[in-house]
Amino acid sequence: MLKNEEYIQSFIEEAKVHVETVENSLVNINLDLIDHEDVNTIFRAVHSIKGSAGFFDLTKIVELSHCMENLFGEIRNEELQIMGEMVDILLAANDCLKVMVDDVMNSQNIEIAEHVENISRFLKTDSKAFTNAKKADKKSALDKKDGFAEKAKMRNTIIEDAISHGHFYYMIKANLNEDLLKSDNNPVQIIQSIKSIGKFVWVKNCESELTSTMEDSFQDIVLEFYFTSVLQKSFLTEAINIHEQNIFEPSVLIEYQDEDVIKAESKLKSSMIEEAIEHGHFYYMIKANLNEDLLKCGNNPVELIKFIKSIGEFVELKLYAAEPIEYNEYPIEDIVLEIYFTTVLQKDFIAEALNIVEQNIYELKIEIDSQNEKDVPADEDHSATETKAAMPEQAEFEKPIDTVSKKNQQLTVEDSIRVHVSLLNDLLNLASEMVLGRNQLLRAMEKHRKSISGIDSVLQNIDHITTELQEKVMQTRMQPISNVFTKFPRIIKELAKKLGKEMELKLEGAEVELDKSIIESIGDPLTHLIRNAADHGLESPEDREKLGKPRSGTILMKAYHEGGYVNIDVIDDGAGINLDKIKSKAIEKGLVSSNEVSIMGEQEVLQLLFKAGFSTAEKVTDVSGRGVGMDVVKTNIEKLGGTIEIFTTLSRGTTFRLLLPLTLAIIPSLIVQVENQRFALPQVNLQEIVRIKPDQVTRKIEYINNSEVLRLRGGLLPIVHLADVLNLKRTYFDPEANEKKEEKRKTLFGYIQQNSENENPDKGAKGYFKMRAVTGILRILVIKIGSRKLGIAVDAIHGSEEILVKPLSSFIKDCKCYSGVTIMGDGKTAMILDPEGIIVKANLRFNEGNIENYDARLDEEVENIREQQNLLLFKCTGPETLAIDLSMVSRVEEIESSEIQRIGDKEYINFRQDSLRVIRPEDFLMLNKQESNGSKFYIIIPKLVKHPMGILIEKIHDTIQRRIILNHDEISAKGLVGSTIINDKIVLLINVYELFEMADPVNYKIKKVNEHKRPKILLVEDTPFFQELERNYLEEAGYQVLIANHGKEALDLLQQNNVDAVVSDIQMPIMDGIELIKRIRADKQLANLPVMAVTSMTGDLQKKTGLDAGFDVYEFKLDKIKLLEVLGKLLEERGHVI
Amino acid sequence: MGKVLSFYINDSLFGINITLIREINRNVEYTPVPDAKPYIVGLFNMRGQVVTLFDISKLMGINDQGHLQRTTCIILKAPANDPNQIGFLIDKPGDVIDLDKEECEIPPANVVGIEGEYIKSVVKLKDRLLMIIDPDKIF
Repeated sequence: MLKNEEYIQSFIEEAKVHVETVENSLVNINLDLIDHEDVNTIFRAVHSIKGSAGFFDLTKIVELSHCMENLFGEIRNEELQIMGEMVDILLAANDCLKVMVDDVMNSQNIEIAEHVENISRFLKTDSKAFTNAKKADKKSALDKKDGFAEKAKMRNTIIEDAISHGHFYYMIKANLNEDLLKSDNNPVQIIQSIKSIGKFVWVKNCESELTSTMEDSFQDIVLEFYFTSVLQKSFLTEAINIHEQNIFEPSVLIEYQDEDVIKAESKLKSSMIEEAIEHGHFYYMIKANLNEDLLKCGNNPVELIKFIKSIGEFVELKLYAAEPIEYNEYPIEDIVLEIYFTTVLQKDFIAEALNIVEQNIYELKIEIDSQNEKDVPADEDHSATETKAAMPEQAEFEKPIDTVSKKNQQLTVEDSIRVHVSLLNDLLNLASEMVLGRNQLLRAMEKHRKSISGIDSVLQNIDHITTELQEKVMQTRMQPISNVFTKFPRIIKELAKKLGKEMELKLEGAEVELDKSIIESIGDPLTHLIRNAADHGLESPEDREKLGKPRSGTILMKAYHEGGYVNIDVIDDGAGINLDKIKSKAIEKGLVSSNEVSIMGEQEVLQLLFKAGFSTAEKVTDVSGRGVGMDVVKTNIEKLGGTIEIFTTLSRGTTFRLLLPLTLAIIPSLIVQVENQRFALPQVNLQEIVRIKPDQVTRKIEYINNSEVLRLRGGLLPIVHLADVLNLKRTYFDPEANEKKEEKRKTLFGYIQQNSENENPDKGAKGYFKMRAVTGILRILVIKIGSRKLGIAVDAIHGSEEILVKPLSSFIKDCKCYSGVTIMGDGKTAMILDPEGIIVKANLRFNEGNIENYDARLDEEVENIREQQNLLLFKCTGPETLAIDLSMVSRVEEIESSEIQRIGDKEYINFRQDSLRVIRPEDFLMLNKQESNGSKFYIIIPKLVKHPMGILIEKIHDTIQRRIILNHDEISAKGLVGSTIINDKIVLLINVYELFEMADPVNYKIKKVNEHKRPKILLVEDTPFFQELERNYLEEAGYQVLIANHGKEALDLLQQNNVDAVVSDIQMPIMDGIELIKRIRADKQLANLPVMAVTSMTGDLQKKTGLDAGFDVYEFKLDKIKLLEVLGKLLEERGHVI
Repeated sequence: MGKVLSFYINDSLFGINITLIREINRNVEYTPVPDAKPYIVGLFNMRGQVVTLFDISKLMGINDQGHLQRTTCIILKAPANDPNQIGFLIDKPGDVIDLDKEECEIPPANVVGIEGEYIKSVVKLKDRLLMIIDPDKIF
């Protein structure tokens, strides 16, 4: 029942502070020597209470504080001398205020007349004005608590003031439905627009129209917006989006309505209500926010009133901005409508009939008689009786007792308390400590779990509670991202006006929570991105129209969780980023050379945007394009431990994606060890870990003047040893002496070179460098910071841990290699490594423009990511080597030739108490057949087939893991996928399904798709073997097949071809399946395309990820029957959509 | 002058105003910080707070003969959450001594250099001298 209840907590907290201020100041006031500052303080405090209380319709508090304010106003203006008696009375009044503030919900029931009277006795001039205002108020029996005349007076002062400052005074008169809502013009927006160009005074509904509502000619609500602005009338139309004919320049200020008229009107209304009540009507008031309660629910107020007229008597409509104008502390959020009417219906029926929340309907009780009587003698007597008379409000809200008490309870439960952030940090620390303690306890008690009865459940309990405690404590620092998001709609509005573009901002995921410190620091980067999107991204409305896009551009801001990080996407549907433009700009600015640019890939070009001193805006506007910013955005995001990515499609739009850690304090990191000391390395910068076996070290690590480098995918990666960087003495384990010795060799892995050169005669022992094998596995962490990459060699890797970052003490701040300290699971401290610092310390100088040949590296990468295949090599009776993919093999059994039984022309074996047909590949494939002489055979039992048959072979050669290059031209036959060369031998790869089909045509017949239609399937698969296999499956089933090697190629093909369905692998280089499906689903034209994921990763989790990303189905790629079945179904289901 | 806690480093007797001390810890397990200043021994975890451990014998230039593994330390008071929690290693703590003003003297003129700077006053105990250190100067 209270207005704006969600803010009431903050009001109470605030008001308590103010009440206390008043009390302290009053108590300390020195009567002989009045300090103006003291009086001012009290005045301000009381004024604030009044202001905020008015916002919540807490009329009693308003009234009392208003009295006090008046008194202090007079004291301040030295119209009144403060004296001892006055202080006592004020203190008493303040106490009363305190009581009301403490129990806001019941404040309306507290008697304040005595205090008001006491205070009013002291009042001189102002009291008259106030009471006069009250009187004027009373004239309109149904007016709100605050005096109309008083308000009008105040408004007039605002207007006069504005006019004296060169403003013009305007009034917009518009029909709510006809002029505004029909053209999507929201009155609240109008008020906001007005506020941006001038001073908004007030809004009301046109009185004269109201009278006409009495007769049944009601058509529309007429709104009148009063405001002042420096703008000429002709500009207003543009700024506010209103027809010029609707804008008036009223010559007079807001008129005090003639008392008689008001009286007459109110009398008329009162008598009407009276009459209605006599006829068994109830008197109601609906109070609703125009946007929030009505329009959002599709409830048009005009329709509402029309409907009310059909169910009862409409009395009056009141309309005002949801904010006391005099205290501009709250932004106008909405327009409040108060609809007064009478009807015979019960409250709950009305709620249902009008589609209004019941809380918004108030039943009013009106004692019209007494009211009118009170109104009459208002003029003569002095203020005391007057205020007293004003006490009982003309219409009291009826509130059922039970809801009141319930509300009160709720309030106390939700009580919040202001806590210093440092206390929360302490709690966080202690909670983590507790987790450590728990871990130690659990470890120590592990052995005794069984021996001490009952200890198990206790431990579990502690375990559980500690985890929960830590989570809760973490939560205290979490804040919803909406705290940042809320400021963007306004920015966009302003930008739209400034840039002359039409744009709309959509916000998603405002409830996603992030650590307070992160919330605080992402505001600026996001603002910058939004500005960029609005300025550079979106085209002008005219250009958009030409391109066939809606005039208004859309900027979507979306926050969501992904992989332990929070992603924030800033997506615009604008022009996209023109890579060529960036290139030429970058060359022009001298950031890169044209040679370098020519070999850059898309992402690398986009990264140029983040270089300092880069700006692509053709003309520099004051919105963006100052050439600073994007680099700052990147730095800021990286400072938070996040990263930023860009995706862009020309003329489709651009997406900036921020990846942020959930909290600053806790980061995932890798625990590594050198020389028995552990360090934590944040995982954000970690790209991969290269593990080199001891016998390979010398081959993989190469030297350039004693500097170690590793060949990694065509590039050379500089290697630094963590121990060297940290000035730790490197040791090695000498197996002869069986102890650790200090490592003296500079180049750890280059003993061969060292040995041959032998240029260290002073070391004496020539044998020192003797072929001492590198004993340990070498682990290299590949770190990437921007375009800089390096390898850090460490001794051991202990796995990853979520670590709590603690700041470095100032005594070790000078060590560049650390970014913080942490306490690990065992309670020991460990330093957190700072890769940036390591680069500095190790003296690595990266040539900023040093970008390797992108294409070559890309190819290399493609080569590497390509799934390796596990093949089983075997032979049948002939000399040919055959192969089958291991993933299709369930098991291999050894059998004696005697176990094979012939039934008709088919052979069977007894396999697990069941008969299993076995086939000899040479019977079906074009292979050489020889009489077998051995008595032992092997049976390959394939998996993922419906009607299993064993494949009878003679000998198993080997299983190998290889990336194979498939040749399907030279040797091709039914039943074979193709051939490849392994160890200089031709190996034939068997297509199990085709083989089975040949052997058992009945069970393995594939239903062919309609020959006439021949749906076109886009097959996205990078591994040649699978590509061939799946194409085979599909083509055989009658599909037309297009092939793409990775997601990017697939997207290009999709643009050019009309495709009926997509079958895609997940693991692919350049763009994987997940990203592909996301892009497909994001594309309007492709969104409904049936897309099937086929993969060799069949975990439930992967499946879920795939389905979540938008795949229709997720199948194992080698199961031909299932694949075709599912695909067929999918095409049927989705078919009609296309 | 108040109470002073005496402690030994290398057989030298030092003292520190007891009000500055937060606690004395035996058997601390600290983690060395490679590449830090030589007088920083390492860091250790005191109930969730990271304490920087100093070797004041190195700081003060006291001839440190026995490279003994000290594991006892004195931790100074510091506001909670201050990352600069300070502790320093000692050989062993001594007694708490009540001091009179008369017993104290400023360091004699020939005690100069770093040593002189860090020593606030010298106390003439019955059988030996006690050097009161001034943590504000040291850290």
